[in-house]
Amino acid sequence: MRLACTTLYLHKGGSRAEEYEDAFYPRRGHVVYRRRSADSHLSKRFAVADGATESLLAGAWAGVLVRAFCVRVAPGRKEPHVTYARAIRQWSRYVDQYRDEREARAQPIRWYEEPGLEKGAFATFLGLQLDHDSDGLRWTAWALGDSCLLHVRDGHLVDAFPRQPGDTFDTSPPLAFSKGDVAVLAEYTECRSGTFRWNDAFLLLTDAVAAWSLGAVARGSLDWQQLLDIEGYGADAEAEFGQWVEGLRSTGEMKNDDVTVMRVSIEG
Amino acid sequence: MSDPFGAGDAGKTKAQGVADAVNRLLQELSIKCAKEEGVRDYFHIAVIGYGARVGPAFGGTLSGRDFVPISEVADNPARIEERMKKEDDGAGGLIERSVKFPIWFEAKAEGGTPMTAALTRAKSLVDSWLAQHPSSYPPIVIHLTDGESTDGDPSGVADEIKLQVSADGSVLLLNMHLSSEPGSPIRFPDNESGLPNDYARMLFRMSSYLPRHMQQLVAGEGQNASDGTKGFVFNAELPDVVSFLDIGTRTSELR
Repeated sequence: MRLACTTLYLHKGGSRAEEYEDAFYPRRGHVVYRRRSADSHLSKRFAVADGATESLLAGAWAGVLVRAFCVRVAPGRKEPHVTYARAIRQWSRYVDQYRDEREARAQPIRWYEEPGLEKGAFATFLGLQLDHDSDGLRWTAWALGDSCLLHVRDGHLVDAFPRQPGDTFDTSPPLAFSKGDVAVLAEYTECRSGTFRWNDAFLLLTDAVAAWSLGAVARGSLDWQQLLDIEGYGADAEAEFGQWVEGLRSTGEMKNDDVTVMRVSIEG
Repeated sequence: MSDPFGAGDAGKTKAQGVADAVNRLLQELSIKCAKEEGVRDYFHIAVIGYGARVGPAFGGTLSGRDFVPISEVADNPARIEERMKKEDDGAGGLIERSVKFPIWFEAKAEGGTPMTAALTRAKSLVDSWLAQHPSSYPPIVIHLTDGESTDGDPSGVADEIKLQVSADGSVLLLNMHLSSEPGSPIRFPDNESGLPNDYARMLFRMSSYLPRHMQQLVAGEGQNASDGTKGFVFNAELPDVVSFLDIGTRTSELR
């Protein structure tokens, strides 16, 4: 089995590129994994997270979450508990280092930043694990918030998780919290699993593009299938993706927000 | 204007009560828009003071300015006071903690209450904003007052403010009457029946109907809210109007 993962993203219109607060892993725009031999077990993880606007260091927290899920995975450990516990541990060190670094460059924390740093950081989380072993092809996903997974076969939607076509998206989804209780975060996290086939694809989408895609599916429009054709190579692909998103924003079809599209294709 | 403010704030004048409310509003708005290493300009703010004169009310380096981006507001309070705040100590008691309280707007107890002139000035700022930013989120006028108008009936100019629109919706006029009068506070009523006098009824009529998302926030506080609910409080402390403002994903801890 060969897995090809392609990710394209764009910051919110009117913001600077460095103000993008989604995160994804694998971090490179295009990456391919292959099963080593016919009898080996291939298990790979993919994740997106969306840092909340009303939160300081939200993009950094989203980054910590996706790495905690995808990097140095311990097989058999209980998810999503392991990911949240690891992320919360790493976050406390991150914030201490951030404060030290601000002091070191003579930019101490300002009065208006302090309450947000005290409060903690918030982000949605969506993680996908794909397994290929002697039992066949299985997927498992965990979601907290409104970042969505779409399972696609032959250009048709097989499954959407955790939101469904026609669902409304609002500004108060449940969020992974850097000072949260692991058990509580896990309780709110939804989990789903299933089987997949050769040539299926999975899309991991943050909320603006997820709402647009699931809205299109609900209307019977095939526009969302354009996401299956994205190419992740180089500046031309990024520019083309940017123009496409900005076009949808300008007509009001897509909410003006950070956008992340990760496509995982299964190639036999 | 130098009357005592409220029963629980010994020694605080009405003017000081309003000034504290404005400063707290600017503080909370700055914190809401704060990101690491700066405040994002989700809002531009103008503060109009009215008393002996009607005009821009920012102090310090912002003095004389009308609309100021929120990042500049946050970085330029006239001064920062240290105030003691009582907090739960987690063991059933209270502890006092020093907190920073930025001041942009100083209390002034002088002159009358020229509400009509103040709202006329607000309307002219709204007009100029909309001429320059016709597609923006519609401006919100938050009118804080502690007394009755001394320059005539402001209802006409209030109606003119509410008729202004951007491509994204109607201008909102919220009337917040912060009072030292005895009596129960009234928050976001949807009819006039419980209002104590003609002045309260006039302010109610002058206020905009709350849009749906603001109704939901009022309802989330355990209060009835309907399409008839107005952006009006009477004889009350300043409510959390900053929570009415949407800038993106809201955060709250799961329990």
